Amino acid sequence: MFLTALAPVVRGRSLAERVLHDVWHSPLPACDAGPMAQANLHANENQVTVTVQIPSIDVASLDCSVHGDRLTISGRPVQAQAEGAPATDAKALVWLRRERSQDAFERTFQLPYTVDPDQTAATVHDGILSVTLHRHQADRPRRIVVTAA
Amino acid sequence: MSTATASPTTSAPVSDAVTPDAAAPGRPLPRVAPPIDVYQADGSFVLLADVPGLRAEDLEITCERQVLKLRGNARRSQVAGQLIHQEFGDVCYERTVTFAEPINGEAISATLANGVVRIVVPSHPAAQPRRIPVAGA
Repeated sequence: MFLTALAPVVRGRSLAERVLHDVWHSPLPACDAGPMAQANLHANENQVTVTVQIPSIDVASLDCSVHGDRLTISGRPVQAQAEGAPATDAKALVWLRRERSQDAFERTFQLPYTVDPDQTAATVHDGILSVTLHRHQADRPRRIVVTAA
Repeated sequence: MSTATASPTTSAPVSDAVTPDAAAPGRPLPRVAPPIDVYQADGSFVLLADVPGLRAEDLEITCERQVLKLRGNARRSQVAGQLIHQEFGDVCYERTVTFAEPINGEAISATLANGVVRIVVPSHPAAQPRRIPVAGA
């Protein structure tokens, strides 16, 4: 069955192009890089939120560290078995197509101000990591009281 | 390991990586083809697609003959504060896969977890290999 299914992918590109015509000729943007670890930053005067796309990353492997005004996030991809593949060596599986990232990632973000590492919260929903950090008290602007001479 | 650094500042303009008002009401979202993996196991094809931000209620999977389509709008949750750096936005995930042999459309199942949709596509019974008994003369 393997030879008659998506096997053209491995037998030859010309046949693959014919069999998977609508995939290769899709008008949609190419997905070579994928959505892995793309990030958005939102900030106001006292709080900054970093959201990162982390589909297929093992949540248990996520590591977030804060140093001054820099946030570093790293993680490793979830293993194929954890995604429901048979409990065999992943290299032994018959992969007909592999486009999703298999790489670990690490990103460092320069934040707009120094943050308090003790006031940090991180959650994951729908494959998106959200890290909220609060501006360090010592870094917050202070009102200077002006007294008349 | 891939490494990258972003250096946004509060004065930086909103990135144009994704059109900022792409999610405006009545305006179609930019369409993106999510990356997929496909492997074969136990007489079925298993398709995995990265669709971060997509909720199960917004995912639509259809099957017609040997063509499987997945489609859904991923709308990001509202985040407090001003957007100072943007690399992703609201998108419409859309991907079509055509199988070269009959598939059992009635038995397709799908789950969505952690931004990854897993679709199990059983082969049609007619496409399964069958042992042919050989009678002795």
